[in-house]
Amino acid sequence: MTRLETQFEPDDDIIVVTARITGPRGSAFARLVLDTGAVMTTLTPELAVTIGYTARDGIRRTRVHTAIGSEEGFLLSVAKLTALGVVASNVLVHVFDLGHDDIDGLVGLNFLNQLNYEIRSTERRILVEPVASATA
Amino acid sequence: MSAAAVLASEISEPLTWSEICARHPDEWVCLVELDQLHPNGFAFRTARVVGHGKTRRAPVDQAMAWRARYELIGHFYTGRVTARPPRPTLVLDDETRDAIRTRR
Repeated sequence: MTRLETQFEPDDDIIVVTARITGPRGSAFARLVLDTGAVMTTLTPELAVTIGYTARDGIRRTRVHTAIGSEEGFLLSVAKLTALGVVASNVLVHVFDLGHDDIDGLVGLNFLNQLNYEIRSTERRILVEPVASATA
Repeated sequence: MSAAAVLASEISEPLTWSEICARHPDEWVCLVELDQLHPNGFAFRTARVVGHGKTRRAPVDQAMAWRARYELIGHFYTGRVTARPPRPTLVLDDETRDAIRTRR
């Protein structure tokens, strides 16, 4: 099995990876926080707009509890998401304003669960074995 | 000034990431023509700026004028990422749970 290697940026105690997301109007590169504690991969509304999606493309509206109350988001199936060297098609993502001014989203478990991965923190790299429907 | 000239004035020359950060500190930028060093990584030699601003949305609005010409647009923050992993709590009613499960 080929192991894919991705180096991540040294940014204190969070892991930031580069992802390419494709929608009806094109593709976007963005930096997402890799979060093994997040169920869903999350994108900000601005990133969704960049590739041509709006709330009208959502397959379901969602409600999110935050520190300031309850807010709305939506679930969206993006045409393609590439991260950690792995391409996945028709990926379900949660579009929601995360409330942080410096990140574009999260790579969560619904993407990571398609992979076997090893985070080598001191080496600042992630090794991945794609399985299931994900392709390298 | 013609519309084409106005558009042309809104794209930068090729710049390194350090030059982009210096020109647009602590801003969001939209980049095109990224000359990537590695296919899976963020590092690139140069890119052109087609939008910038203090909010995530501002550069997106500017970059949309270039969408027809560029299939790939980068959306990045030039400051240091300080966000702690945010944990929004998605309210899992039955229909939302089913929507997620059926896609696994």
